[in-house]
Amino acid sequence: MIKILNIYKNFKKCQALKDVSFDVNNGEIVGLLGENGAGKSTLLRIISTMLKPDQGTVLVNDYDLIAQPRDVRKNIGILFGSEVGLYERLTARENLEYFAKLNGMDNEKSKNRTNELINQFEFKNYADKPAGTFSKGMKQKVAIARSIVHDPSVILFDEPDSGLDFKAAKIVFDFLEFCKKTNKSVIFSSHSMDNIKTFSDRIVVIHKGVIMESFIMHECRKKYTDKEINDMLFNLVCGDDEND
Amino acid sequence: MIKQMVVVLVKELKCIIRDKKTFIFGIVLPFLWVPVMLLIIDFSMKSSQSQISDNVNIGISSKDNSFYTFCSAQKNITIIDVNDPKSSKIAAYVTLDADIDSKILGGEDFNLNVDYNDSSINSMMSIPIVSYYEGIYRSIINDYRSRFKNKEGLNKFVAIEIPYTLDEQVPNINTSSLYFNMLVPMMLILYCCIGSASTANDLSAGEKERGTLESLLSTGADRTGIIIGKLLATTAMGATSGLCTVLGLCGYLLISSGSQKIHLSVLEMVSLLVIILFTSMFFASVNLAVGVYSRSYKEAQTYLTPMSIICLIPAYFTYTLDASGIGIGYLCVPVLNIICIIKEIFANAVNIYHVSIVVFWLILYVLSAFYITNNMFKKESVVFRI
Repeated sequence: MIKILNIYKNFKKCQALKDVSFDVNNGEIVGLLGENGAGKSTLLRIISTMLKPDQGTVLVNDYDLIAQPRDVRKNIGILFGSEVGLYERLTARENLEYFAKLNGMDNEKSKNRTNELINQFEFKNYADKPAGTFSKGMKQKVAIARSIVHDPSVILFDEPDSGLDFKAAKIVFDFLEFCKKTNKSVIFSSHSMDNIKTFSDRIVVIHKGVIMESFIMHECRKKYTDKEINDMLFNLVCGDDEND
Repeated sequence: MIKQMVVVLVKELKCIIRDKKTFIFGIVLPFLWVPVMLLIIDFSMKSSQSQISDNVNIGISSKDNSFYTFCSAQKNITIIDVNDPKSSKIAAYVTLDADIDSKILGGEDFNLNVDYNDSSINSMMSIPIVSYYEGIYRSIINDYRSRFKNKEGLNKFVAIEIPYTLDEQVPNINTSSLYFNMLVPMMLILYCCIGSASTANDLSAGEKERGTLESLLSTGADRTGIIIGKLLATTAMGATSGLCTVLGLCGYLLISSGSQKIHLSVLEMVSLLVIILFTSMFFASVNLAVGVYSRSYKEAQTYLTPMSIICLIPAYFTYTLDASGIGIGYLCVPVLNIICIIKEIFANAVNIYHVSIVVFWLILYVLSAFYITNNMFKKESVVFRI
């Protein structure tokens, strides 16, 4: 479970986030929708402890971001955009084992967990090949497996569908469904309204660092048509820029 | 933290070993470059030396005298008719009194000066040969004065060929001073620096560029553990490059037939290894700090290229410094102290007190550089350059 409490963040003279607060329950997928520069990546970097908020805090499974950053990191798995960030000179297996060990697992546990993930994500045939030789889809699979190698209960995806072809995108969305089934809390950011609508239980619209609106999707779908939802989201995402 | 440090170190070493470019430029090249460079220098020196021993062109200010006759009789001296003492056709120009023979016969002092061209290597290399014949001429004249008083007889007396062999009579140009006073310290510094620079860039700025740094920082690992692991891997690469340079040098000494033989005692070898290790660690910390600060591999290269050139300046600065006269002040200045101690080691003048001082300062520099790197690695404004 994630509790985001009144986060403020400034970069020099630019206000990146202003009083951002929302919760993500266990088993819930929250889609973070916003334009480029809206503050989505900054928020995810704050939750993952890479950036410190100027004000406010985040609780991840009751661990405080400011006071217990390492415990927070142990409870989250993160995947940044289409840059999967694999070590290309290591094999898929070595990439997974490396991250397992960095997250505190011993040798035997990391080996067992790696084998489990290789079977789960079905990349046994290329598990011992260098990651530099993989296609984008293969890399995406390994990167997803790496992000959950320590079995975190919270998953953060920063634009996981960006720049992916159909096959690689399907891997990502299959994984989102897997997260839901396994009761993980997920925040994923995207530019794509269609993907956000399809996979999110709740959509949080962010514009110029401010949360504009939060929609519970199954309630929205009861009240509005698909086109009405699209129009509504478009107006919120573009904010006052639409009038420019 | 130690466990994570070891995990990072093992992974980084694995990546370094698997990278062909790092292997070639960090290990193979320093191993081959030093002997190849020294062999080329050796070859060109010997070739010039042999040429100059076979024939030296000289100019003489006046003809029809006993010195002219003496020089004409020598197989390896050719007299060129030039008026300009700085002419490129000649290696040396002899100025002598026009009436030198009369002065000799009259028992007076005479002038005989040899001028060389400082800007010509051939001219410099001809010094021992011309000086040798000048000395012989003066001995013959002294001998003649004590025995005869006739000018005709003088010319016949000096017109003798003086045989010589290169090895016995013309001294070899000794290149060992150039090697061990400048080239070896310079090469060691250079390879400890650039050997760790490319690795440091790859492990810091390279990770930023490839997008792996964010994934790494989002793990449960402590950042200090991560940076120590990276520092040790970078040090290992720099030290390996430094060691390969020394091994290359040893290889050269084994195959060369010149005079530059060197013997290191166990203490000197241990001192050399310790100095290489700490020098590599010093450069690794500095290079890593630059890498952590840089946005990309290219930016880091831009900062580190002038730094590696700056490191070479002390090697030139201390070229003429005698290994036996190194003062304590030199041992406290970064980089300069490393060069001084390497000179002492290769001059078989190692002083354990001096080695300890240099190691102490190196540890201090490493700790300072590591403190800065570690703090930079924890600052979001540096890691993400926001």
